Amino acid sequence: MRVSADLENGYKFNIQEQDLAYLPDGFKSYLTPDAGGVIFKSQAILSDLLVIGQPFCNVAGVLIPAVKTYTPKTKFIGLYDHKVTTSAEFGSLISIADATRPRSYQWIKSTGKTFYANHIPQLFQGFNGSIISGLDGTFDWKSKTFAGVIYAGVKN
Amino acid sequence: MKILDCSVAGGVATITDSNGVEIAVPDAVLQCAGVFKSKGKLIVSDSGAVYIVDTQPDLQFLLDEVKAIADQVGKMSLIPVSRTPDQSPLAPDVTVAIEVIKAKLDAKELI
Repeated sequence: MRVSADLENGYKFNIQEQDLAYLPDGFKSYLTPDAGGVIFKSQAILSDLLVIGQPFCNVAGVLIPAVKTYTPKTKFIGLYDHKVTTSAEFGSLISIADATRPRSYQWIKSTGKTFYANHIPQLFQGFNGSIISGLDGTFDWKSKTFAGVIYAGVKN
Repeated sequence: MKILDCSVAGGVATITDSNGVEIAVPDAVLQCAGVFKSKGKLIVSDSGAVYIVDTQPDLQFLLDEVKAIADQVGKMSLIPVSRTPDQSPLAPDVTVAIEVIKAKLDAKELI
């Protein structure tokens, strides 16, 4: 499965035929079609118009009200403005604080040219003294391994 | 960016969602005094919301008021008044001038 992500648009996936035998139904159910691939449903269902005080998303059972009336540049940026993002692991909406929390069972290694990980790298998670600001690569569902590039940076 | 139908009452902008439910937008920046009820458009961008009032009803109201004042001044110019050093007499051609202004207002030439 091809996976790319950045801090403006969030995650985008391209599922290949060879993924289908190993792709968990749970993960598939998190996805919805979008231009050029699939994205997380939890991000796609957000309205592109937020009105101050009106709840617009649900994070772990808590409704999050919009902090101002505006049309965020992207839905992913709209989430970030409210300290919310998507979980690469569960496809759900989680707080940025939760996204940045390191998980003991996750690792990222580098050969100097290629990054490998046993999970889909989580945007905003601490990385090389900064945060993960983008990634582009493949995730093999059979071996559950990510291989590709990971970018470290800061949110503009 | 979105442009939505909007109304303002008591200084607060209100939009109507697709279900017909009215939603207050208290942080909309009003490009009018917002004292009277008005209708207009809410322009929502990635930086915030701005309410632009439909000025045509207000303008018609303003024109009517100005014309009413013109009528009053016109009438005053016809009333003989006792002139004292403290009062400036109206110019002799004020009645004609006012009729010209009124005609222009009627034709909306001054807008």
